[in-house]
Amino acid sequence: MKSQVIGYYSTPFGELWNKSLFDLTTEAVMGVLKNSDLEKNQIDAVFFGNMLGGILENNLHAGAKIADLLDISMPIFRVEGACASGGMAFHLAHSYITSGKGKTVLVVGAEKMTDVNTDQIIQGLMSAASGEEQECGLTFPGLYALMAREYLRKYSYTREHLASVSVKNHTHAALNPLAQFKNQITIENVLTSSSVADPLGVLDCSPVSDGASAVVITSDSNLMKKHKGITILATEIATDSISLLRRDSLTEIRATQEAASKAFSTAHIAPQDISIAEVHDCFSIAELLAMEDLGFWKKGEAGKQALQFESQREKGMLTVNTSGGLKAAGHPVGATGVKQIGEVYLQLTHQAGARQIKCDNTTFGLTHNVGGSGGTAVVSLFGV
Amino acid sequence: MISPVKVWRRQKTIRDLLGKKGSVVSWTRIFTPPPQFRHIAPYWTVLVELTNKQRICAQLVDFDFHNEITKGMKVVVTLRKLRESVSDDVIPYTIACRPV
Repeated sequence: MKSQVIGYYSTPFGELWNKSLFDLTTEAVMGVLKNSDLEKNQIDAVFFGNMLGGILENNLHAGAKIADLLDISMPIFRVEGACASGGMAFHLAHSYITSGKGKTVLVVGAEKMTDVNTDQIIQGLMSAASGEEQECGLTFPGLYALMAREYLRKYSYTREHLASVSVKNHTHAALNPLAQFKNQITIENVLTSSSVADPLGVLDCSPVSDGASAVVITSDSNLMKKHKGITILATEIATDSISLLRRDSLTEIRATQEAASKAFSTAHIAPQDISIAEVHDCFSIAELLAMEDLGFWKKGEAGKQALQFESQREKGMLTVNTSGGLKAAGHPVGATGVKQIGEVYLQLTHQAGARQIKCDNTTFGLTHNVGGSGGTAVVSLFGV
Repeated sequence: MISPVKVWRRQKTIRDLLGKKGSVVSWTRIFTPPPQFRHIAPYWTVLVELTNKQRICAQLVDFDFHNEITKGMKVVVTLRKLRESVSDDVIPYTIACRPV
């Protein structure tokens, strides 16, 4: 069954003091309905990606809350998979359509992170790690730092290789009006930024952000004819142990490899067919691992390729994270997975403004959304 | 308050790990702690592979940090009070690793 993404809306990402979680959610829902030229009654269900609403503000039962705010009464599902909440919501929305339960579904991801102080956020995010990891004080930067140290040692790389990821993503974000950080940075800036979890510094880490993003997907042939949409070729999920301790490797995320392998197989395309990708750079190391796990770069080579800025706009065949990635566009946890899909949608429909890459009707796009230190991975593939 | 029942349940696992030996696989120094570890930040955390191939994570203690932590460094699991609780609560002891 053919299905498409036919509309997208995102709030800016950043410190949005005036907006609550549900202000942002409502804005994204109303925005995407407007951009898709749809009425509320044309939607069959809503999938809502959010991680921290329960922990930070005692706000659960989000489905009923959204129904209340929008005055709707269709099925609404909250989906949680740590930082993969948005991608997972999209995956489930797609399954809802392909199983015939509905034809047009709205996916919205949202997060409000700036109402509490930093150490409370750190603790909230740690809920995506195992009990043992939490008990010894391993924070999220800490978990990825363990991976980064081993990756740098194994392939004889330095912090510069990691830093180049952040530099590239800031360069892209400078062209994204919705990005949290639009400033260019240098490798030197990253290396001298304050330490967060050695060897990761502040500028190796995605920020704390507020924001909401929404897409509409449909299998309704009339709506697909009416809109310039992008076709969903595949969306696959894989799960691995929550705990880094029980993974086979510190330098690979098997969940990404499995989700990608399933997605490419379903869509009958290969990594080398992808021209535009949004990958999960929660930390600089995460993008290097992703480029290898997704099959774009050979194992052990990502550091070298990244330092040559091979995946920057107008460099080569594959451009990665034109939105600015999580690092520079911002990372409101539940929204990110949806924003990634939105960015690929904008690129493939020639609406990406100053950061547009060359696309035609043979161009394929990929989104990659990870939960925790690799416990969940969602990979989705799109074509024109 | 940390649930005394949870602390009690956890003690069984902790007891089994005490005295076990292993080597360091990776490590990091954490500068941005959650609230319960604010009082000891920054602290070192190590990922250790025990001799029975089981992997654990723990804070590294009793180590002269003027020296460098190295991959393969030998450690042993010990008991530490790393977290504070309220004064009339069950003390949430946990494991830590110290160099052999």
